[in-house]
Amino acid sequence: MAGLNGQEASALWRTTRQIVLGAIILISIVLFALWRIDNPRVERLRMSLADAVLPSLEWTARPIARVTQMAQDFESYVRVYEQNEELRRELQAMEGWREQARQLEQRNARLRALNNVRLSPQTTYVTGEIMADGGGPFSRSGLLNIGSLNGVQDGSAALDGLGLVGRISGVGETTSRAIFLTDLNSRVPVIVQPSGLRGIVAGDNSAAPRLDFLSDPEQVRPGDRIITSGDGLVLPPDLLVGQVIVAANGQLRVRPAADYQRLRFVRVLNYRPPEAINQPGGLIAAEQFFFGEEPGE
Amino acid sequence: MKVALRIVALIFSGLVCTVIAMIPFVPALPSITSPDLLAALCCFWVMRRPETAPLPVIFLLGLAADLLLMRPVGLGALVLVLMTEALRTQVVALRDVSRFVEWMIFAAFFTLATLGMLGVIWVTFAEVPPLGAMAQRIVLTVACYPLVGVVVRVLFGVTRRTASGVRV
Repeated sequence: MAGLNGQEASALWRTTRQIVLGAIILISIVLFALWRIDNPRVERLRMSLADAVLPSLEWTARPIARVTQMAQDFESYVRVYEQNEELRRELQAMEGWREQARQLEQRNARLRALNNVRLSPQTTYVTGEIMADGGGPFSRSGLLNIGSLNGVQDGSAALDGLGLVGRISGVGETTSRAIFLTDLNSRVPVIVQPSGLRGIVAGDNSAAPRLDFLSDPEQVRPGDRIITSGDGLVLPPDLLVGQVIVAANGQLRVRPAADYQRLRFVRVLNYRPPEAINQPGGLIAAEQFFFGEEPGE
Repeated sequence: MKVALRIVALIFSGLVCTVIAMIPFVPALPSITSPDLLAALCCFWVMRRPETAPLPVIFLLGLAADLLLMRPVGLGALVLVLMTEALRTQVVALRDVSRFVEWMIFAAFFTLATLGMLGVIWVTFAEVPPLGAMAQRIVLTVACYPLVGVVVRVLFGVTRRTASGVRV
């Protein structure tokens, strides 16, 4: 700006600023519109950025996890006597279970040998660690340190040892994002167990997601088990989601079975929906008469 | 040269602010929402050294935070840019106000910005985040503002220039 006089320079400067500001506003609006109508593309952008940033997060996540762990350890140290008693009791109960499990295992092996059974290969999984979280009031999600290179697919179920945590939404090469059941945008089709009613578990960023769209809420009691129904062919059926609880205002909600308090490792199922058989085999010629007819008329 | 260094410092501290929000304390059940440290940082910086906080840098920082923190993409960046631009036009007027008044001005701006953001989310039928959490976020962010200021001042020497040229 040395060649121009002061006033001219500042006028030029101001115009440039205004143009840049206008361009930025325009880009923002376009991005927002894209985010609103075409989530997948923006999701891909998110994941590629996460892929780039995650290595640097390794080093924030580790120390913090260590500190949290130390705090929890200290807490448990304080209650060590109580815990010891509790563990002893549990151990006793477990001995019984172990015996039973052994017997069942043997029986199972015998039966399987009789059967020459082939187990379905659909239930492999890969375990990842939560490296970063969504943060803020906008979402409940976590970045995992496993990605498409580890076989993670979009939409896979994410579990901890106890129950469904959420599903994968967005996969990068070495990272993926798990959307928790509690997230604002999470909707999971479920079955409420003893009654067999179908419904949707809808997150609202609170600790206990809502249980919506039940055909007959009267039949549902607090404490009923909730499992995934597999409808929509995104999540596999029969994963434990949690229990029904009734909120103060009478609304049905879900207490997730997954232990969100100390969630660190997440297991991502590699599930492919069963192939549907929708045409006759090649040996028999397709006959319109059999397969085109309305049933039950 | 000094300006370039300051810009790099802003980029660095902006990214640190975003990463802090991403640290997984209790990922699924945070008992408190994380404050918007980036907004506090950018506002603090713009009021003191507007020439070292270029518009594109602030925009890109906001966009990175949008993408990493799962906020509505573009909206958070736009709100941040508009907020800092509004403050930038008032730099001369804000030069001699007391720290407390400056803090209150930030509180007002941030509250307005958050309400505007919620308004846009609501109008476009996206999922509106819980209002309680948003209120908590405003309070926490405003509470963190002086803290961010002290840290930035100590680390990068971002001080205020008053009309008389004295740096405080």
